[in-house]
Amino acid sequence: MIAGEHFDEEFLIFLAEGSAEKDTHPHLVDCTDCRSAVDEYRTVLTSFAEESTWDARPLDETPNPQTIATLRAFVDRTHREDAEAEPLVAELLAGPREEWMPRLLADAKYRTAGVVRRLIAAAYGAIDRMPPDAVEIARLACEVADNLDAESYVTGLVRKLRGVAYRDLSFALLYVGELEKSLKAAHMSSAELSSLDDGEFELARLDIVLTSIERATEDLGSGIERSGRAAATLEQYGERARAAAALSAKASLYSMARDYLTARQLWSSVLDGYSDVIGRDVHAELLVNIGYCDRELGRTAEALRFFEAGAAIFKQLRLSSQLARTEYNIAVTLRASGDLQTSAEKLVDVVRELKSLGMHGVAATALMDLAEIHSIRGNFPAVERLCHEAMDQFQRTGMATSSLALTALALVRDAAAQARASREMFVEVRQRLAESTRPANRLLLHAEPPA
Amino acid sequence: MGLTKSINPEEPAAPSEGKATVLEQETLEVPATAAAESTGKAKRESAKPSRAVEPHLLSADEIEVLYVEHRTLLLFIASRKFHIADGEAENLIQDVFLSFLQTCTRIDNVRSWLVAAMCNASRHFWRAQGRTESLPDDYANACDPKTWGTAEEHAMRLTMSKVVGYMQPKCRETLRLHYFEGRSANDIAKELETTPRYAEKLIHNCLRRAREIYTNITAVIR
Repeated sequence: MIAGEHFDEEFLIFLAEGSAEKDTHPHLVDCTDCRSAVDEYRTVLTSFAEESTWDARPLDETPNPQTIATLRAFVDRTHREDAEAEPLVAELLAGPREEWMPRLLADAKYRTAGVVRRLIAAAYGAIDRMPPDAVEIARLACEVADNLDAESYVTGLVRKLRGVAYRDLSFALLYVGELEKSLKAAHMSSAELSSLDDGEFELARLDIVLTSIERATEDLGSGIERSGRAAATLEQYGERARAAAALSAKASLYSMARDYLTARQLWSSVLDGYSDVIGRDVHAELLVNIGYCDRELGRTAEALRFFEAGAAIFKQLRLSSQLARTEYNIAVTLRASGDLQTSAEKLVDVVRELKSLGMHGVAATALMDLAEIHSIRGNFPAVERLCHEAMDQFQRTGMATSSLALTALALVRDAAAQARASREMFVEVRQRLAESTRPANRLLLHAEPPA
Repeated sequence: MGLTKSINPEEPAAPSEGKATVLEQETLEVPATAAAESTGKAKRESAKPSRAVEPHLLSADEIEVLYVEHRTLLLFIASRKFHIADGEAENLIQDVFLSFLQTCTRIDNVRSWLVAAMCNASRHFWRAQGRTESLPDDYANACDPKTWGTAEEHAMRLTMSKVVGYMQPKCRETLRLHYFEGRSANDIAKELETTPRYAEKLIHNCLRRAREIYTNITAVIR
């Protein structure tokens, strides 16, 4: 530590005129005063390269009373409309949801911008509690917004409300798995928001919904481009948490496209660059995702390190389902690294935990992994028993589309009974399972946007 | 060059936050207190973290406070960055705030949101102008996507334009010639009818002075 000694001004300016990458002098590392002086000089010099710095015209800093009056009037009107809408929305959403739309269509009193805003807020609140309610509430918001008189409001307000209402409907429909309808609503939203001069922020939020749809329909190229664009816009608007979510979605699309290197880089950049806005649970999810990429890239030691770091956080937060999934990943990675014994022991624990959490589909695949290890060891009675158990778990999921996988599993079970179950058979089961969980009518999802 | 004792212990050579220094009167063309009041405001805005708000829940008083707080920066962006006339710029500021008020979601960083919306509104302004009348010569620059910048960068430019405004004309011109126009010390020496050595010294002294003003008006007052 150098006490009381600093670079002279000449040298500080010399350093500032160079690039930051050349700031390697040991004194700059130790001395915060000199480092901040170089930074300040650099800030000054960067601004000197800007034309606006040299504009000598005085800037009128007096607030405009007319603008203030306009803004205050707008706020007052909005609050009045929202207050009037509150009892109307409570009345509208009374009773079973089948009664809501007929009630709305029967009375013109519900058709105000305030009601749309209240319904949008109500749909958002219902999405976790009762998703079908959220869908119906969002439909009501769209119905009201579609029939508002645009002339009675500030220019663009009604179109923006329609765009936001349809975006929320799209999200709610996506949530309940109605992909085709969700895409149609997203296109309706896009048509409204794209027509606005100030729709950029809302369009970026719509892009996140569309990315989720494209992920579900495996339209990876479009999703990657869209999520990147959304992240850039949201970053500009200072919405860093939303930008991080968009980047993470982009990484998952790369992962789906099996570009694990790019996915890993993106997830790492989210972890490093957005740690101030992401929660600990998301932090742990990112660690697990990075571990997953490492495993797919053949770096099992690194993968285990990331999985275990993620698992430790999930354990602290008592997030049981995420912890069980991470432990499952650890078991699969141990198997990939050749440690079959430890992997099998962990899988037994994982299956028990998944069953207790009611995660039957994941439990079934974990049972298959365990059966595969026993198959490698030639323990065919165990393979037969585990296949039987896996089939039972698959049936508990209630997935109609899992019949292909069930048939394949039955073949493995029967082969094990004859002591001839092979690794290739397990590969086939996994392939059939992957096929059965894909959307059945992907081509139909690319609906034309509304005119 | 190299490690020495601080040049002058009495000078704020290596400033840090926490001091409310008064600028030397003779080198400023405005009263020191005015400088601190006016430009200090811009930096204090950037120093404090922007709180998250739900715009549609703000009261009329709160939106007025936000307008007063951010108007100068937004006007600077429209006027200086996008070369929009002040009257039109005020209309755009109003549109940006109306758009902000229509946002039915939580906004994490109000200043960044407003700055991004102002840049977007300014670009739309020029596109609309292109449909109705001939565009100014610097239209390309005004609409350049690279004119995006973070709220912090724009706030810094606003602060620096004020720093430059407080400098003596000779210093201001010397720095402009050297750092904006890229003129060498020899060129500047010819322009000022002096020696290259003196011109070099002048550039460095003026730069030091610029940093000094910058440091003083951006000091965080505790």
